[in-house]
Amino acid sequence: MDKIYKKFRIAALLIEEIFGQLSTEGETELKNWKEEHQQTYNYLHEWENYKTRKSQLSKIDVSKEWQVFLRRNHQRGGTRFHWGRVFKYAALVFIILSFSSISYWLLYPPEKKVVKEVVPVEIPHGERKAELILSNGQSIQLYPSYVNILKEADGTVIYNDSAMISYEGAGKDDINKSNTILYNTLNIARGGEYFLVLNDGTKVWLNSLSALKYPVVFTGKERIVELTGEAYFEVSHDPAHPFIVKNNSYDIEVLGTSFNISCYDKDDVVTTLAEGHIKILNIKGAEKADYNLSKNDQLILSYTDQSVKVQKVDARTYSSWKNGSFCFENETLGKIFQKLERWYNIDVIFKSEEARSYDFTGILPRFENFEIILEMLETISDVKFSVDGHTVVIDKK
Amino acid sequence: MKFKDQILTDDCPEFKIIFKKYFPSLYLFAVKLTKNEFLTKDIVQEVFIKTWKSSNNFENENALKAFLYLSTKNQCIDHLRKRKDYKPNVPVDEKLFEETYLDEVVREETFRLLDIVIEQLPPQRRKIVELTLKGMGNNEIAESLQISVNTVKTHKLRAYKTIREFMGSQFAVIILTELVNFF
Repeated sequence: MDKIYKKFRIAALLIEEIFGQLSTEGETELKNWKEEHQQTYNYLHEWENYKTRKSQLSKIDVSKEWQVFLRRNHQRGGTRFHWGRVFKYAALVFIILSFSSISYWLLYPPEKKVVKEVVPVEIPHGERKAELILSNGQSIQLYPSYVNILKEADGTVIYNDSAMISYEGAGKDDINKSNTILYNTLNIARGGEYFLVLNDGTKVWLNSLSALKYPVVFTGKERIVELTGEAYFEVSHDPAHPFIVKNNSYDIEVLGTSFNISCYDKDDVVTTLAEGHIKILNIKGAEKADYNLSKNDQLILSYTDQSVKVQKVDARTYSSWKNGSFCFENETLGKIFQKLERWYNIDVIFKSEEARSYDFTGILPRFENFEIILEMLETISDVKFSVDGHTVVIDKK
Repeated sequence: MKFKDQILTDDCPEFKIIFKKYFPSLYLFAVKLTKNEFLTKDIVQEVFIKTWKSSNNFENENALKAFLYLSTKNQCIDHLRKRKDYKPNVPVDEKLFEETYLDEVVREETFRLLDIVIEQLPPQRRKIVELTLKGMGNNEIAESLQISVNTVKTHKLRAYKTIREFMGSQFAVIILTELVNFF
């Protein structure tokens, strides 16, 4: 393993040499390597070789390979696909199908349909999409299929690829040039979600109808971000620079840990800790103490009466959304549909107030269309749904 | 539990980015080792499936990269052993393999890094890199492009800064297992 790391280092030194940026230590290190590997060195200094490699690269369709990977991975046990056999069977099935359809067509020639077909509106699931607001106010739409490489005024490179946006700080001399802190905002609309890696390596999963404001580079003593909506944070460890998540109701101070926070307007503010320790401070409203939370603690600040409650939960339930499923543990139908409303961009009307308080425990897939979700809920609970456009009416059975 | 299937078919953003970043390099690397373009895609696919299924926690991207290269090398050896024309009395020269694959790692990694930057350079700077690779020193380059030696140096420094931004990659701590072992 060590050997290969050394080779990565040699590659980096070779690059430094090409660009004339080799330090004296680097120079001796590279010289030693060169003596034993003159051939490889020469190979790399042939423009023709670079060009040959380039043309080989252009023959690889990485997106296609990724699809192949997904398909193969889908088969459990990792057994190899025997394409030859698959094609053989596929051909056979095709032949049978064409025979049967021809005979069907001969026996029952097609008649013109008079009945107008009623096509029900399909409600698709949410997608990975977001809006990025740069420090100069420019707005950029982000989609998984896009690759954007942007540059902030201070030289920070913003890299967006495959539903992930990340920040890589510029060289030190570039940062010193600007004294003002530049902020970006990531807005997630209803029916969206996105993944963000901040400049310090902290990972943030943002749920629908949420927004996070953050500096493109953390410079001060504290790392401060502002959140509305729901997000899951994996804060990179740095005790010297506490990480603080501000929302309209309170501040969360962490040194390096993972937690989920839901702070939507006109709703309970819920913080659930998955790992480590966090501190809740500056709770707004009446004078309230600070709270220290440990693993699987959940703090709920009630929207209706401003009371604070701390309870033990399974934290994974509250972060499952970032892994592609809704997990509910004794959750009321009212709360469940609040979440579904945001992800499916629908409006919900409870015809029966009683149904709103029905309890439900289970897991729903996030990347299925809405009809499937309703079917699943209908089979296990005593409610029925009627869908009109994007409005769902819920009633007792 | 269906969850497992779901996360696998659904794009896992982190893994996808890694896949897209390294698949081409590992493929070219493996072609050098197996000298067979047809079966090599299969080999690299197999490597990624193993990586996805492995329970390794990679501390940083370098660790993951090392794992990917080593798995590809091992997979290539396996492949050569299993080949139909393989005769037990002609074992795979594993010692030779151990010597050559490390050189191939240097070659591929250097070109890969170069690739990231070269496409983004303005034409003049790209020309300078090209001439450097052709073995020209700063003075010769300055002469052939009719610019001063200092300009050549500045161009090189600026080009290097572009690449630095990508070399100090931030996608640290890739926890693949967490996603798979959720339930």
